[in-house]
Amino acid sequence: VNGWWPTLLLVLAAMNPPVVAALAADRTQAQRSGAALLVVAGALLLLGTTDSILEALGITIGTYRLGAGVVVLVAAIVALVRGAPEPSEGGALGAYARPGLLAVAVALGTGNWWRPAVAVLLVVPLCEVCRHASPAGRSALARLGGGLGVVLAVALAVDGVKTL
Amino acid sequence: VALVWVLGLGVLRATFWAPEVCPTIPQAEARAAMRAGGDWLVRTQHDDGTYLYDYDRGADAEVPGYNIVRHAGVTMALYQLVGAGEEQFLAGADKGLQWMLDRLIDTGPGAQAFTNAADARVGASALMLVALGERRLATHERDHDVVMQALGRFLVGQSDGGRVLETWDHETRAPVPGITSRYATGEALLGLALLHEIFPESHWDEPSWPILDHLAGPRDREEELFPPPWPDQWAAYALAEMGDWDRPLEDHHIAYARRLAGRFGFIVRFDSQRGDALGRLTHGPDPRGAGEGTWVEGLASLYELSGLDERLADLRPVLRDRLACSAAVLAGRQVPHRVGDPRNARTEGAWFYAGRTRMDDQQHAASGLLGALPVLEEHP
Repeated sequence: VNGWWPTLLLVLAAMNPPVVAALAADRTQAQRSGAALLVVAGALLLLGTTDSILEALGITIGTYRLGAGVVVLVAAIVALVRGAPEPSEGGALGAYARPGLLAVAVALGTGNWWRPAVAVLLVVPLCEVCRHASPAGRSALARLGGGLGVVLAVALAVDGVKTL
Repeated sequence: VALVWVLGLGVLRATFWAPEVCPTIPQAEARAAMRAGGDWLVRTQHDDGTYLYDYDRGADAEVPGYNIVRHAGVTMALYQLVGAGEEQFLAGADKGLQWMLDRLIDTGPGAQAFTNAADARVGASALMLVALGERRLATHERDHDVVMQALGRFLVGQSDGGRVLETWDHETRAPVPGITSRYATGEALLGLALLHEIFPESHWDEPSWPILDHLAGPRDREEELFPPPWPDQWAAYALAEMGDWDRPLEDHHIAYARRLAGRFGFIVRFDSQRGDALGRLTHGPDPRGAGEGTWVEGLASLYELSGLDERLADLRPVLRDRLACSAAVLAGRQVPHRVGDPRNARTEGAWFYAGRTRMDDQQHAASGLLGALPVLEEHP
């Protein structure tokens, strides 16, 4: 999970932009932009404070990655089964703050932290792009993202298991 | 939504993200725990040289049964302790050794195996050889050099292109084809590696390399050991022995050592998550001392190897942390040792699991703690 492509694909699968686009479908542009900015800022903050977070939790990166893999896996299976969901209630932040993304941000925040940072900056705007897809198209893309997420979540969890 | 987040985080915290609790232990305390494990083995040893095999604390009684591979392993551990300066264990180890010497059979020209049955299994002979090797290194006495090389010839005869066949059949006077053991391959390799260290002119390294290639290559797949790699502390011991040979380890051996390190690392991380009440609930009961001891032995051997081979130098700090943590956890589960209280002769210094302790619990725990001592010296 340390190369460019695995990182980018993992962030993409953890965020699953068509799911976010569907959840935030009836939010205003300002709400969506604000939520996107907050999530990017939050993810970057998590990336930069991984070591402190792990220390506070009292666990090592391998143990963390195993749990993060499970989080991404659950979200991915839901997306795979359900496709694009109905718009959510509440603020846009609830749609953008995907548990998988936040879990992955900490999991990737050691060593080459700039790679996941760039990946986050590339992936979050895709949520806006996915707004323009039809509901059926969004659902198909969400399932595709879910399938990708299952594979990468397993890879992340296995990486956690194999880590010394 | 907030409730889902809180519940989700709570479940994660109780399971996958349960804290890894790593106590610290001074080197002197670890040595005392190691010594107490050795004390248990010789204090409860029978007059004929066999050890107390299995003890039930609740019934205050021995559980019937014996295993000669474990007998050899216990003797090996005692000689390891002797080599570390604990010479009080030499007499007990020699009694255990004599019991094995009385049970050698000829298996071919110049070859002998240790068995208490008609057929012979590799594990018992391999660990007897390791015990003799540890004795030779500790005492420099040459009394058993001939036996050591005879056992080595038996092991070589059981090797089929690196795949070690577990059983020798007395009727065919040949190895039984197709039967292997997850333990015996690494045990045989360690025996041969020690032979090469003691008798370098005899080239025991030549049959060693194919066995290591097999362990690092198809072994896990062929023996359906999942998930790979099988956490083989015998292979780790052997890698540490072979790490300073003239012929360097090949890259695929180093890759295998890395995989082994990851495997042991995961296991001891998981084990350390049993450190509080919730962790014990979600991570199951404490493992038996024999299991936990092998993880510490494996980590200790790989730590030693990381100091011999630059290609593993990046793992050294993490190996040190895992080893120090697992050794402290292991020592913390020992029944406290109070010298001079004869009422508790069969409990003190032992590691119990479900109310019982078996001799290899003390064997592996004591060996593991011995291997961890250098790390505890270095650890802040």
